[in-house]
Amino acid sequence: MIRPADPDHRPPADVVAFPLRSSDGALAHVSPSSIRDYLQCSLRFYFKRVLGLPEPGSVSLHLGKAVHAGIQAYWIARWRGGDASTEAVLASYQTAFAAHEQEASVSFAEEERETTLAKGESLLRAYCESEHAQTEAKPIGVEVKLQDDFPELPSPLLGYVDLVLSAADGPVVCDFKTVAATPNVELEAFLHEGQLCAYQLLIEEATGQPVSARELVFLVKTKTPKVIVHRLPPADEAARERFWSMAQAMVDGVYHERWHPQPGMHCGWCPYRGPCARWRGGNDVA
Amino acid sequence: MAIVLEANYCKKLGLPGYSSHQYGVTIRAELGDINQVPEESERVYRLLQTSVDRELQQTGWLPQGRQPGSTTTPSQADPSSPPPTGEDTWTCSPKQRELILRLVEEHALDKQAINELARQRFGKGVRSLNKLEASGLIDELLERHGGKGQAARSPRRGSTRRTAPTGRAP
Repeated sequence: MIRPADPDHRPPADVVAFPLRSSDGALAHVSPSSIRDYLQCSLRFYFKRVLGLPEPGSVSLHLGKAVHAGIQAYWIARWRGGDASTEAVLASYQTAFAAHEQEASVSFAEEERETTLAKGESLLRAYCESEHAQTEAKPIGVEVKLQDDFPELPSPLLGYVDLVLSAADGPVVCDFKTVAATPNVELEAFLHEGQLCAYQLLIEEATGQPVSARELVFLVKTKTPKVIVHRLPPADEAARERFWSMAQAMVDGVYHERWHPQPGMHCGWCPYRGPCARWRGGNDVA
Repeated sequence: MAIVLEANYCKKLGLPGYSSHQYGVTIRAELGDINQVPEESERVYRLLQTSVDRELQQTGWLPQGRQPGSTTTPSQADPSSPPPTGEDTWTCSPKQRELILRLVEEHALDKQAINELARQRFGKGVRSLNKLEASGLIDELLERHGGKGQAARSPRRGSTRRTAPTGRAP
């Protein structure tokens, strides 16, 4: 309990050294993915973002990154008056696909590489022909990194926004998702609300304009690829408060180094099940 | 033996038009036990930071009457207000301004040409670009001319030219 100090009474004080925390640096910034990682499973966050244990790449992640690169090439070309033809987009996609192979260890099964490469090409062809790609709206940001300080958080908020389109009543935020099957858009909107809210906050901060809409653009990897656009209104005050509360919960948990297993469906594809099973508490990993 | 804990928290924020404001709070308190220092220090720090952050949001009067975006909600912002004019007034962040000027200097770029590029892409001159637009211009300048020295920075996420990150995940 703190009592008011006696200004005339100044006893010598010992220097107290504070030990470095293992999580120092994990809060250099806060991003939608770091919030999601911590809230989904704090122990996974610890393994991935504090200990930096390697996370083997998956085929679907590899494909998703390369497809994003193709979409990025399309919109940059649209923005700058370059070659936005399907052939040019596919060339960018193929280059990115090969480049990611050099960066990450992806284990393709026999003939899986060619099948995956072709799947991405057909997805991008479907996108280039879609209404979303043919829109008259001009891009004002493509794969843009935004970072800003907000009074609600002790660390800056960071986000990479796939696409920002201009509109008469304010910018439109677009996020692309490659998915295996036709999505339940309502559920997906619920799952990605925090990410979209973060992007909205960053864009409004960077432009001084209110965001008019948010779009989840699903590229569905079915035999005949589909492009599904789910348009959402901007996050209201309640959604913003909910986002900040989630972000603050994550910051508080990381700061106090609260890690523990949170078993669930996500354990089925978690790469850290081995160290998780050996975990005995705190920062102890056998 | 009583221990005096003296804590000071001060924050200075940059504001548009070369303005800034700062505010700090200092408190002194007496503790009965040295072992209370870490816990009380952490508590006092949070208390002071919260107090300072809350007060700093009231920026008061600003030159050219511009309010920083960080303290206004979009509904309060006035997009129709004219951008600030003046030889050295930029709308983007100080870091972005610094990087654009450094790129111009390092690559001996024509300022008029850069201004024209900004007008083509965004319909306004370089000084009027907001943070999002400035980010787009910087990306294009880096892709056209490359970065060297301190002007170099990581290219876009997903770019095939991006080097593997050495730090933590984003």
